[in-house]
Amino acid sequence: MKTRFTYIIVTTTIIAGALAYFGYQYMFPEQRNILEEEVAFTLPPESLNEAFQADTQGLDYIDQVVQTTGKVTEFDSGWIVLDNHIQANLLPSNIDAPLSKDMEITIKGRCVGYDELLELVKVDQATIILY
Amino acid sequence: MKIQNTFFVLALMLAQSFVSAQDKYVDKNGQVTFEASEKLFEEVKATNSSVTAIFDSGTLEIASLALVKGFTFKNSLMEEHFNENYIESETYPKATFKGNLKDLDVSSLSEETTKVPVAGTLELHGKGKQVNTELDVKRVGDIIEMPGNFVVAPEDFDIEIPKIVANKIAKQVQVALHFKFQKR
Repeated sequence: MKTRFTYIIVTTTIIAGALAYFGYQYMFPEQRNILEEEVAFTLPPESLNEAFQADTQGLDYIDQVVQTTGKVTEFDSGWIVLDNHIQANLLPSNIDAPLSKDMEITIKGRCVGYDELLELVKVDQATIILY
Repeated sequence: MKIQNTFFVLALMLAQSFVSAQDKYVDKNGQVTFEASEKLFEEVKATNSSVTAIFDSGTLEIASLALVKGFTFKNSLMEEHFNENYIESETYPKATFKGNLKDLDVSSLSEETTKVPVAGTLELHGKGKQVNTELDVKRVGDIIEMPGNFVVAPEDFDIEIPKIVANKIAKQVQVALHFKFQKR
């Protein structure tokens, strides 16, 4: 009798624990880790910018992981502009990266969309992967 | 005489373009946060740290653009619901504000805060809404800072909140902004 009671208690605890775990995973899924994700598109800054002028309005690229190589045309703490076509906001781990104008670099980040005021494609959570 | 006139017109055009370029201030990474949290429920709050704002100190016009996908929540499921069900960011990818500051003399700005009224239209989810608020404008070195806040309601922008979550999302959404303008 005692064994049967213990069995019920243990089984119920395991099931409740599993439900709580999977419930929590569903309610609070982990944030995306762009650096770890696979690159969906590799293209030059100009082509990415042009994609937003096309009929498709760059919809294919929004929220996708993109990789691009270009010259640094402008930069400040935490952000860079490549070839005057893309503004990439760097991840905190990349903020102190040594940068200079006209330096050619490759970045990987999430394409957020097209900014009409600046005429730039905005990319966030970016990492410099090649100098 | 004709050459003189042409020269005068050219000089005038050049001077004009110089003046207008001088008047432009830009912030490429402005911050906008909105919060619609209700007590006892999970925080409903998101921040976009890559908001563009352009300010013309000559005309006192201000224009701002936030890409909706740039708003990040602590809870990624909430972010997904926000984009897909509420704000429909694929159809309406941008939130914009266009307005005018009133009674501001940029040359007299100092590190002390000046309250400046601003009126304009906020466009979101395909709908526009008149917004009137005050900005706490100050100048720190070469930078003109403009923090401010205002309140909007989801219904102003035809954003439907399903009944099942209605008590978890505030009817009044607090919006806080902070722009740091640099001369272009």
